[in-house]
Amino acid sequence: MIKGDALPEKIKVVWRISALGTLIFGLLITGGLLFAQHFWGWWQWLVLAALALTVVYTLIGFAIIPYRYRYWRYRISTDSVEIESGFFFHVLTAIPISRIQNVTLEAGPILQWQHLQTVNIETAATTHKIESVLPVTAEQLKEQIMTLATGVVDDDTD
Amino acid sequence: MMTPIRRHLNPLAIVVFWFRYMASLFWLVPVVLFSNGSRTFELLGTAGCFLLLTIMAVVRYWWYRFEIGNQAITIHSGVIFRKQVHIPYAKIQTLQRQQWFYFKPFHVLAVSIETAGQSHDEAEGSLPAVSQRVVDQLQKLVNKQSQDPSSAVSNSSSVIAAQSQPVAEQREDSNRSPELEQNRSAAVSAGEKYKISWRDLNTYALTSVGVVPILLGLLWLYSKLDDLLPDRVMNQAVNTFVHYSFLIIIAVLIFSLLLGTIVSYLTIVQRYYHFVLSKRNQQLTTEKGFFQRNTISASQSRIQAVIFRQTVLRQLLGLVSVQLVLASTATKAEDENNLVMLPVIDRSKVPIVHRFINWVPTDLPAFDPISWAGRWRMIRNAVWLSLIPVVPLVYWLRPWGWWSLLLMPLAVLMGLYAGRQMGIRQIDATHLAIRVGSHFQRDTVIVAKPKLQSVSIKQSIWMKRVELAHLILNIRQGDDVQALRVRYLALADAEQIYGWYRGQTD
Repeated sequence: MIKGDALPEKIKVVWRISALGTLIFGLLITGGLLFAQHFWGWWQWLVLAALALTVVYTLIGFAIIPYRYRYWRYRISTDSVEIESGFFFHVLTAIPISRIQNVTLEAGPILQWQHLQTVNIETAATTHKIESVLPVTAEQLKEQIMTLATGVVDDDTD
Repeated sequence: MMTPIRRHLNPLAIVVFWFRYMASLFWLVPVVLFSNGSRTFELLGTAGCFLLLTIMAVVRYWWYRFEIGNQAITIHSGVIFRKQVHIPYAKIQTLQRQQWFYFKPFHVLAVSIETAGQSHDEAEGSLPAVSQRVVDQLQKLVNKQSQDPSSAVSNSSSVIAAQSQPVAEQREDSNRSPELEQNRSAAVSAGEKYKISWRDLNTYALTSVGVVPILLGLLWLYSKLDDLLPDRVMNQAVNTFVHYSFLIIIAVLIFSLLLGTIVSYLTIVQRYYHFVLSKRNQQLTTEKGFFQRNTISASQSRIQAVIFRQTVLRQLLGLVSVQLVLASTATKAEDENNLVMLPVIDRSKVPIVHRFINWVPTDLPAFDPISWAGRWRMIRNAVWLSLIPVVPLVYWLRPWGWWSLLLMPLAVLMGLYAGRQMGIRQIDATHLAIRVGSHFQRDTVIVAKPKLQSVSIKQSIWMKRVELAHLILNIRQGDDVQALRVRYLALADAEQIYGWYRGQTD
């Protein structure tokens, strides 16, 4: 584990809501299949499978939230951004500030409601995501990255 | 040339545009041929079409103009939707010149200008027909930029190293190149040249011919026929074909395979005909082609990585193909989107590459193999993957499906091969050598630290126990990313490279 910042605590709420979203979506599909079984004689196992998948998926979604939160770290130092995530599938990425081409901040309705923002960091080849930060941090981060990025000679694709 | 003048293309551009419009109308030909209209109507229609196309081509030519400025080129095009492209010379990745044989007598070429911008499969700037004089002028300006130390070139050390090469190596005939006179300030212009021999071209073509591209070609031909011919004709043809005995089908198959082999062989020979690689003023240029002479030039500092590619066949014959990864789509017709730098050379001639690109080591580096724990996992993964087709085939296609079991020893071999090739090592303070193998082909990649866009270490929970990790190095290729994956590396080794890349410790 790197000695970085954790995501804001509120991201757990967002994850719970999105897990709830999957549950609703799965139930809708299951309902549709039940309808199809009743009126057009589709197979019953299809309904059962959909229901089982929905339940399992939602349960896993809820269960891993603490782990997901615990293992998500990011660190912005003077010359690089590091992002770390995952327990079962652990990934640690380094992006030197001098390779960053642009930084995008975005927020969907749930994130907006929770006053959070997603940070997308783009290089000439890849895009990296810091799942969510507080607006203050986002602004600060953007400033920091942009000043650092304009301060160094661009040595990416040139 | 203080105030840039708006210039038209060479008038031959009208011909180019005309044929382009014509090609886009080609689907109309069967419609006209199969229609039941009267002859006179058809003739009138065709004549009208020709006239309209001519007018369109002339109008387009009239509105297609460009300005060659001191710092940038501006291209105006479009009639209804006007377009203006502005490309600073400092941002040009590759300059591509194409000349069909029938344009040679007129000294007219097509030019494509590519930057690192992501304009998907299309050059940022293109001049469909301009005179040789214009091209030379443009090339001179681009060269000047790539030499200018202020133009943000990170590996300036390579520039210095190149200039210290002995004068004796200057093999260019300087009277042919006016820009050489201009650049006397660059103490020595290190000129290098490589010309492919007929024997090498032949070897390259023969060792490149694969069965898969041929089959894909046939499939493509079939789908084209399917599009062009009416359904009735196609069905009839397929029916008669099926009625023939099994033997004839086999014969036809073998014949088409042979034909495909010959065609793809000739295609490669045609494409790399009289291949010439040259270096002048930090600019690498490849020139090739029989019917269409295709010249691509890129500044040495724009090279994202150098790949030494060997298929098993080439490995056995002691041959290497050398390719350059560029942030440009000018090379999309070549081997997996890389610019072919040296089609095929003998293993012993690898030091040639160093003469053109001085940060490449003089020989292929040796690698420490990954541990057996890692190699065993590579084999296991290959076998797992082979089970995807094998299991259903064995289950559902009882007698014949059993043959698919032969895929499993093949998978073991593939995993064994890939595991044996895998390796990474640092060759100097700023360069890495990476070797990856897959599908019986190995790539040795030399890449500089500034061209690595990001680096990741990946480790699943099962790899934690045995202290293995994947190291993923991302570089820019064409308009996209190429991820170099060094898999099942010892965690300590992966962390060491990662630390070197991050450039500091805690």
